[in-house]
Amino acid sequence: MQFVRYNLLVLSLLLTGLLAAMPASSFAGGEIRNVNFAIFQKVDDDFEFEAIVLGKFSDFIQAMQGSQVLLLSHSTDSVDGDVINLQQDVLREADGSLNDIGINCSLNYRDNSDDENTSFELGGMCKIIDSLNVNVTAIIPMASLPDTEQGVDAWVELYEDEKNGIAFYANVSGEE
Amino acid sequence: MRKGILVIAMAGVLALAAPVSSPLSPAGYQQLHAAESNEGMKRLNLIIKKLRDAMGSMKDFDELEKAGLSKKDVNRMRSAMQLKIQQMMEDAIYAIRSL
Repeated sequence: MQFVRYNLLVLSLLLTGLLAAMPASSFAGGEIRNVNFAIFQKVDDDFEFEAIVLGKFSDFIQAMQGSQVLLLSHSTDSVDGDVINLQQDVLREADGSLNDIGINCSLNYRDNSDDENTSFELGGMCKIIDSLNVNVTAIIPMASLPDTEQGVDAWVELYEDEKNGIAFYANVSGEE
Repeated sequence: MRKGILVIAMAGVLALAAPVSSPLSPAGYQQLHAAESNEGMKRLNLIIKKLRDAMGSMKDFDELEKAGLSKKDVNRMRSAMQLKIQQMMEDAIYAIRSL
């Protein structure tokens, strides 16, 4: 009898361990999506960023002629409440020491989907430190993201820093 | 005869010992130590720069609330940044100890 109790205890511990080790996606209530995020900087003065760019990724890049990509990111299997930290660290030797330049973003991802509708939001802040150590801090308000899984092939402009000609775009995609 | 063998043995010991002791003269050791300290200082400076940037960004989280993000979301982002700062501080302490 004691042996059976011991076996049950071991079995329950193993099951608990397995549940703890399972990825969040397996038991999270929300949808699983990949968060795509891009930063562009204007290089052509006549170029204007669009609020929404329709089409596949290739169409998106094509539509961005007149700007240069500063950062492209794809965060897989994101779930509600994820804080997505992006860091593009460039360490440049100057005056015998290293200067830290690049891009740092801290993004807040929310999945507000319910049984009937899917709804995803992204916001946060990004710091862009250029080679002259001039900081650009962009506060990005929460904005709804187009969902390619729902047949909406689009990228939405989350925020534009007009002074510095920098725009932040995002969408969510499903399994590839 | 014995004296001759002793002399040969001593010469052998000296010959073996010589390569071990020769590369690091006191001046060479000081140069090596100075180079290591210099690298350590560079590393420490970099960590401090990163730490300063990260700490500076803590106040920017207040701006997120003003931009409409919920307090709960901002607090979660703040916690994530605090964890990063904690990690960097541990790196800085390690770098200082290594100097």
